[in-house]
Amino acid sequence: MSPEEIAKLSRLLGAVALRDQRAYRELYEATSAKLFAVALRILRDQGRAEEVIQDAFVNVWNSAGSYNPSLAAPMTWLITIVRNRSLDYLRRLAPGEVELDDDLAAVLESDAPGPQQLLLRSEDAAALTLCLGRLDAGQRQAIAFSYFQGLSHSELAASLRVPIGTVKTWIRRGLEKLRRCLETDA
Amino acid sequence: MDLKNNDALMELLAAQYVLGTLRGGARRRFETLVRDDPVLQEKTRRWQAHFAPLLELVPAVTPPPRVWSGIISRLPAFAATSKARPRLLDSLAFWRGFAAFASVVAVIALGVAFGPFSPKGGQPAQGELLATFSAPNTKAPLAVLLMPAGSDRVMLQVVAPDLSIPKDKSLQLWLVSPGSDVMVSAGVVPELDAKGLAQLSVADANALRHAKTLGLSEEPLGGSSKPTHALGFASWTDARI
Repeated sequence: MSPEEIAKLSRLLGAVALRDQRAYRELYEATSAKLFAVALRILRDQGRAEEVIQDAFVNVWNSAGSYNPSLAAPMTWLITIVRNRSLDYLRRLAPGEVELDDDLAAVLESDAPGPQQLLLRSEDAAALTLCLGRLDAGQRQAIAFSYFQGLSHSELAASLRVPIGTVKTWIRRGLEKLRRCLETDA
Repeated sequence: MDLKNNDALMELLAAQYVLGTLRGGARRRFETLVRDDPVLQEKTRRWQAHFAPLLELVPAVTPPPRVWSGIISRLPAFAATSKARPRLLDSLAFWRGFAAFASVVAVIALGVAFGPFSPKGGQPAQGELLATFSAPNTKAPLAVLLMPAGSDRVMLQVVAPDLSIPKDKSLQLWLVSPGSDVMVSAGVVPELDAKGLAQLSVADANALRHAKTLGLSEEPLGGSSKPTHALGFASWTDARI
């Protein structure tokens, strides 16, 4: 996301905090497609994703004043709201209703970036993809599964068919490695 | 264990909170702790920023228009605005006189019930014409177009409370003539007044009057040669039914 886009979204969020309805519409137009995609990615159900996006935007209208540009980029803040609401939704569903996404690992693997792709992505995204690529396959898979689906250690163990102790180790070591990689390169 | 002095543990908790693996009681305790702990807040924020690009990479999918309608229907502030906008009947009363009320209500009811492409008994091309644009998916009325007999001026009244036109966009009217399936421009709508009303002279009043289908779209300021963002469709009805 370019600095201009970030500035535009920050300005819109500020205006929304001041109850500017036109800015709210503009914010919706600028971000809803991305946010809807995030909800769809996590929930994989059109109706549920629509519900979550509506909740999230109502929440944005009511709490835009709590957005602090020095703490998070606007899109990160919005994505966090949508992701948290999507995960809450998943957790409320009976376990049987949550379909596990076996393709996720494959998606991530196929994301293993060539130099061309890295150029096309934002610096942050490129760094993350690069650092995820340096994790062991199990670590990467466990982290991706839980990030996209909010799975607990035991749910991860069940879906990855490994003992829960292994999952805990993968996550802990994977996160440590990821942080070192992201924060030294940055 | 003293959490405050255990940086590695705080780091792991923040990461697992963001990741989602921190669950149940531990998750709730973390949420309480993070409220009063700037260090933990900073770590949480940083992990959110680390992971956010994973979701920013997902290709965008435009949500259907009903999502927006659903949002503003839940926000009282927007309902207040739509009440403040004069209702359709008021502005038509201004324009056509009191006697038109019943027919307008009937036409809107028809438009909603049968949708924009309902077959009509012959083209009511002579008298005063009225068309109700509605969104293709929700059938919600968007705007009403009125064309007086023997005039090349038409009046457009936006009725959807959630239809706001950004400053850098124009509404544009389109028509499809009988025997054709091409949308041609009937005119670019000037900026709506505070009541959501605009009047315009059309280039070809005869073609507009005989159009089999009318379209309303949102275009870059000043209009386009082809419709790019269609909002709704309509066909004429005799305003005096």
